[in-house]
Amino acid sequence: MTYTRETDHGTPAAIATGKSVSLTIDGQAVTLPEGTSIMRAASLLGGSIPKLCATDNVESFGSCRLCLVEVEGRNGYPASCTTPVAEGMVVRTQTERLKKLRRGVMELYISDHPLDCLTCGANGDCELQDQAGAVGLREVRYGYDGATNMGQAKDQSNPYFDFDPSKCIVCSRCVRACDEVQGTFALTIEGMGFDSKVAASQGEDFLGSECVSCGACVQACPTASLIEKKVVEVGTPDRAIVTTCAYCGVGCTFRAEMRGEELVRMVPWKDGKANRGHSCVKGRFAWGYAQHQDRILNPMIRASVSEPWREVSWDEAIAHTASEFRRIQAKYGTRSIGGITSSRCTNEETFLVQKLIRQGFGNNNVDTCARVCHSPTGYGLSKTFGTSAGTQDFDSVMQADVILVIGANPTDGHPVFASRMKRRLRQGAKLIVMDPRRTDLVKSPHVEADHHLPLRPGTNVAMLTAMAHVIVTEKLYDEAFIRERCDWDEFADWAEFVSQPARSPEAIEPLTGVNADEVRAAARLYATGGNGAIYYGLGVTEHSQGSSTVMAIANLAMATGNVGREGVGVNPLRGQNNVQGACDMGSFPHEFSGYRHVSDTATRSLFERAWGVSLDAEPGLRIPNMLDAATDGTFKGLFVQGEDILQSDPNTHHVAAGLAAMECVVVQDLFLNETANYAHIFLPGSTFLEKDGTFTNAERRIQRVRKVMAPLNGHADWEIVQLVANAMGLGWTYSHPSEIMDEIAALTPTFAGVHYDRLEAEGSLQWPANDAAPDGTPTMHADGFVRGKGKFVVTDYVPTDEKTGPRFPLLLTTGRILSHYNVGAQTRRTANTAWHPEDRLEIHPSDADNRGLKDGDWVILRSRAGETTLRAQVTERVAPGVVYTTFHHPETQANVITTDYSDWATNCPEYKVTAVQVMPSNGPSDWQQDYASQAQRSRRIAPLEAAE
Amino acid sequence: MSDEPQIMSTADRLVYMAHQIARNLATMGEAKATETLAEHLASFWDPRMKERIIAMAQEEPDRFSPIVAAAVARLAGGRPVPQDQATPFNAVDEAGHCDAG
Ligand code: SF4
Ligand code: SF4
Ligand code: SF4
Ligand code: FES
Repeated sequence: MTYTRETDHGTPAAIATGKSVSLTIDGQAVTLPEGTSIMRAASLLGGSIPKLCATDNVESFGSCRLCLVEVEGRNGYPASCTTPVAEGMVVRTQTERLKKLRRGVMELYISDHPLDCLTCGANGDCELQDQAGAVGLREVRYGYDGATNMGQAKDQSNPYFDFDPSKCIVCSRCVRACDEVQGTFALTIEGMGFDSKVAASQGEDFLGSECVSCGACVQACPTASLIEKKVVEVGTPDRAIVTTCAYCGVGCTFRAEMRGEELVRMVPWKDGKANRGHSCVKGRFAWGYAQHQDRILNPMIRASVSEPWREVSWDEAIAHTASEFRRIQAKYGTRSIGGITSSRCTNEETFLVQKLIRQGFGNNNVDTCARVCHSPTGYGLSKTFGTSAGTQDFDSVMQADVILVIGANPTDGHPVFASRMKRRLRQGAKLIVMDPRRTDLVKSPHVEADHHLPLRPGTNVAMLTAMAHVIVTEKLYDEAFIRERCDWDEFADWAEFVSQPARSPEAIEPLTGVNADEVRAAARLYATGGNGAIYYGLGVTEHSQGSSTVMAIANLAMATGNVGREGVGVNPLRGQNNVQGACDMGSFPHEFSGYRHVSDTATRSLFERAWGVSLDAEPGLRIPNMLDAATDGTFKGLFVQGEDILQSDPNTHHVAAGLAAMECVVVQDLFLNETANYAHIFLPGSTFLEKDGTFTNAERRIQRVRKVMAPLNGHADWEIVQLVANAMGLGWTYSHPSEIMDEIAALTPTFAGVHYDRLEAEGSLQWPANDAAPDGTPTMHADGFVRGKGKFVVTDYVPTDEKTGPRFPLLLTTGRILSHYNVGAQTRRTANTAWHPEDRLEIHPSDADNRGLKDGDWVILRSRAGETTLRAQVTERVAPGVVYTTFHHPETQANVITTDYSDWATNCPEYKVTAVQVMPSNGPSDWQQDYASQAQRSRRIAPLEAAE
Repeated sequence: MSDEPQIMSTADRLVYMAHQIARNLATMGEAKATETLAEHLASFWDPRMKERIIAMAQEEPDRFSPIVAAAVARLAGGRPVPQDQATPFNAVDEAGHCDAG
């Protein structure tokens, strides 16, 4: 395979107007959409007009004058990047005059550029070099001393890329990429003429600036001025394979650019329909964990968790796993073991784990990490709309007029989608943010929320019902839509309920702490401002009323007719890369793939025929119930693939007690994670770079993950599950994940049309993809709700039982930040630690003053569940009475603090509301120290005995 | 405010969960809330959880509100009819009749 760069058409595609124009370029006739640039037109014809300041990720700028062309009947030499095509135009891109002019331009550039091409990191991958060749530059008449930026120090502060001002040609591509693509506005051009240069946030270095290290500028830079450190170190790539990011639910696709078996860089794929050529710091740069020395590459076992690990062969580890599970079942019964699938793994792997449990273990004790994030989305959207999924694709946001963001922090959690949303906001869409914290979206360069509703954590349902109150009592609802698409009687019951005076914004103001006028204004804007689109996150689901909140959101969208077309909808921003897929694949204890209940006889017999066994019709245990059953002695064995429940699940003490009560815990993971401290068998896992499969992102988009290097541990994760299954006598014979997808398609109506050959051809498919929708479904519920009539559900506000009081006067809410990912197992093992070396507790200045705390002080954070220590960050981002922290670092163990309270319908933990007290402290708590030494003991690996 | 235990016992948790669900269904009125709660427990609880709460309802009836007691009795009497049968599937053929989560 040879390496070619993705074609750069120089300017973005024109905004569709439906009109087209015909012209000729160098004698070739062509018809193109109105608004297309001459440069893009020539490129689409297969030509390439020389260019430096244009690239098709950003709007044209017209500064370098290299792209001049001749247009018959026009004077002068217009820049092809800024000149749109016109009807009947006759363009010539290569004439003697043009050649001379271009050479002149190029000479000036080169006279200002160091000529160390042979030792430059971008040698062979530099547009300046290419263009010098393209214009036939052979001499530089001005000498090489026009250079005023030469000799300036490089800025190497960013851990992933360097900035070398001496190589900068001041084309502004980086500045425009940061503004237009990323929306951070971190870069400017300072100075004039030869003195001008790129600067990050008024003269700071990149690391100290507002730069979020998304890399868009590096990708846009035509020279080695902004260049990945890895390219400097390894050299330019020699092949590229398209694959999908394994971090978040945006599902960015990348070209993994390789040199041999070494990954050189990840370049966002312009044809990727989720990310359209953009990415964040994690996907583009934070993949070093794949080669980290902490990775465990050999299987290990031990008789008890107090012993050190012993490395064994794969055969021994697999045989031991199977015999332990069978032993436990013989002694304690069929339902005494279970497993947990991972939203980090592929659809195919997840499907196999639940199949292992249903077919091999003979029960439904399977759950997944979605339990702790979006299970209420599944419940709430199924009840109201009929299926567990977001209604739109990401492109839809570009048609939205009013964007309502609830309990989500997309600039940190879903950065690439946030960049798109911010672009739409800069075009004039209105924004309402409902969040206890003043997130970046509330106010950032060129984006400001029209309404911020900083409600008290735990009052979402009261707030959304108050908005419904305004919409109903002021008759702002869409009666035609409701009559046609929803059950009118249910609407009438709901309308009666929300109209009660007790639900008004004024009545609930004391609960939510939000000004009633502001709530009324926000409700009116959402109902009447045009296309209204709702995006929500874990600030909605991770509450004792998570499911009710999801239903309250669905009610609002139905009442205002904001479902079923582009620009509107209800969109859960999914956390993990494959949380949608893990749910789709039957990872919940009560349902098969495609959300079909295990008690449904027709569905069960379909699976029974395919798998040749009879299946359990009773739902299995959810994760917290597995832990309860373990402490009760009825649940004794657990298979955990790619999830760290000890760190990520609430009430660490409860999780630890449950795990400690089991006889066999099998952990399959990249690293000895916190859960592995309680494990008896460790099966080393593979990274997304080392296997084939698919992930499904938050838009229901199924995308390929492709193997770019051999698994260091010897097996892809799906192969390991197959080994376990076969050791338990199941006789599986998959030779490639595509065969697993074929089985999923055969057994799941919504996936019936999903096969690898279709994915190759289309790039991606959004489910449902089947005979009724062969090309997939970008917008759900277009002609009718999946359940038939949309269902309004009355959602009464029931306050959480987690109450503040004199001992625990503050409310803790938790979240994550851009540079880290969840428990941080991957990102902590990359240079991303440059941005977030530890978890901090955000506290309002008045609460800090009351306690005599200063920024950076150590504090004890105590709840009814436990206590930990960390350092304080005094900030007005949080309201008085509210504190906030992330949970990326095991040293902090924020989940020692979180309680067992959970969503009433799904047991999704109430991470977002914990009553706490904060006090000054001297350093880590006893528990933290004990835990650290226990963890260290538990991670010991016995030295191999010398062979006989 | 009292010192609550750090980990609820399973029995306490089951009683707590059943009542928490009941509180969120209360606006439906007693009859519908009872049926819906019984159906919820049938659909989402593992057999050992169901057996345990059925046994507790007999042994410690004082711990149960009328709605929860009635729903558990309903559960003990056989699998309740699902309350939320969806209308027929639409053209996209999604199986929409059950609750994720
Ligand atoms: S890395 Fe991203 S945020 Fe930083 S300067 Fe470049 S484009 Fe802007
Ligand atoms: S750093 Fe690169 S992209 Fe930015 S102005 Fe200089 S040459 Fe252009
Ligand atoms: S973490 Fe999310 S936004 Fe960032 S590159 Fe990966 S998929 Fe894209
Ligand atoms: S590429 Fe057109 S002016 Fe630079």
